[in-house]
Amino acid sequence: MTLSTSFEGDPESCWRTAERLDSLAAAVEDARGFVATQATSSSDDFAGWSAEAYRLSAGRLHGKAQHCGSACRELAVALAAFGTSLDRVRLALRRTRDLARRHLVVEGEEILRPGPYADDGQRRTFALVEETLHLARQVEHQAHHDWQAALAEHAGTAPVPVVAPLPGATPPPPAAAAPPAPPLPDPGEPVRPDPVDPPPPPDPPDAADQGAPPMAAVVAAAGATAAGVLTRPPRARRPVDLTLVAPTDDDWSPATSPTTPVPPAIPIPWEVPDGPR
Amino acid sequence: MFTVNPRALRHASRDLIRHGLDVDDRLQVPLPDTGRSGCATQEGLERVLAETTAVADGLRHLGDALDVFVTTSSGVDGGVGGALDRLLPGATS
Repeated sequence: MTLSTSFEGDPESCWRTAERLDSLAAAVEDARGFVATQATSSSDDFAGWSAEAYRLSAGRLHGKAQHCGSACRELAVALAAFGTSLDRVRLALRRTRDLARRHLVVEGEEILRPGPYADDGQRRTFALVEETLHLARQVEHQAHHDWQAALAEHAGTAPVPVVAPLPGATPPPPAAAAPPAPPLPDPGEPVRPDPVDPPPPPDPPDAADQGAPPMAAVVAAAGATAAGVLTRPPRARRPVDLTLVAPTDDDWSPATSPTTPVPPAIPIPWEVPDGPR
Repeated sequence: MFTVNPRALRHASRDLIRHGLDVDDRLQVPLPDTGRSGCATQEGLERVLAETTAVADGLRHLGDALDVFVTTSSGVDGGVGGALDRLLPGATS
């Protein structure tokens, strides 16, 4: 399973179009104001049947201009808000992708789920990335919904179908409230360990865990890992039996005396050293 | 009896045409890239711009008609109530 950070749309083009629509709305509004004065002009300069017909035509044009100007203005506002929401989503996706590149495997715009050998820091990073992407997709979904609703209301397009919210989505906020901004993880900040998740309880000592590092070292290493430094906990030294046994007759090794210095513990050659997984 | 102030009406006709041209000049609105809302965006903007184009045309036509009416009425004494009807069909209905 992968997490997609792909993004569709161009907020800058939305803002440009919104600006043009706003300019168009201003022009239509000016024209509407002039036509309104013509529709209600006095009969001092123009009176008679033709004057009434002229005022009637101006009144009809005033109604159309008012409708068009209002539609252009509302669409400009909605499109600017849509572009702002898209820009927030794009920024959240980009920061999330940057964060994932530091700790996880990213192929193009896809973030791969950490494998079974991933450490706690990588798992927490993936959980944070997953949650952030989910919130960003919710904001994106809401932005498209609001923009299409504005188009349906002011431009007469097909009404927005009632679709099921995204899984885990919260109820939509009131229409007057702005959509919630997705949290933007800062790639520069280290990933803090989840305070809600307590560290696992220490296992009872048994034969299999004789060589395991102490839990404090594990937690400290996990904190360091979550802080952006991918390290591994220090490995505890295995106890070496230094009891000297007198050589037997079958032993080919040269005789040693108790005063002979004992060489230090030899690392096990067949043990695979830990490396980046 | 009717009253016509040619100077005021010519001024009004010029303003109507100017407003129509001004709206017409700002009708060049680029289509934004709205991702998966692209189809709805194109349809909605085309509708709004079509209506606005009709308003701009109406402004210019009304200004032209008023200018023609003033030009015509200056040489006609009365009975020009139907002149605007010929220029703007259905205007008096």
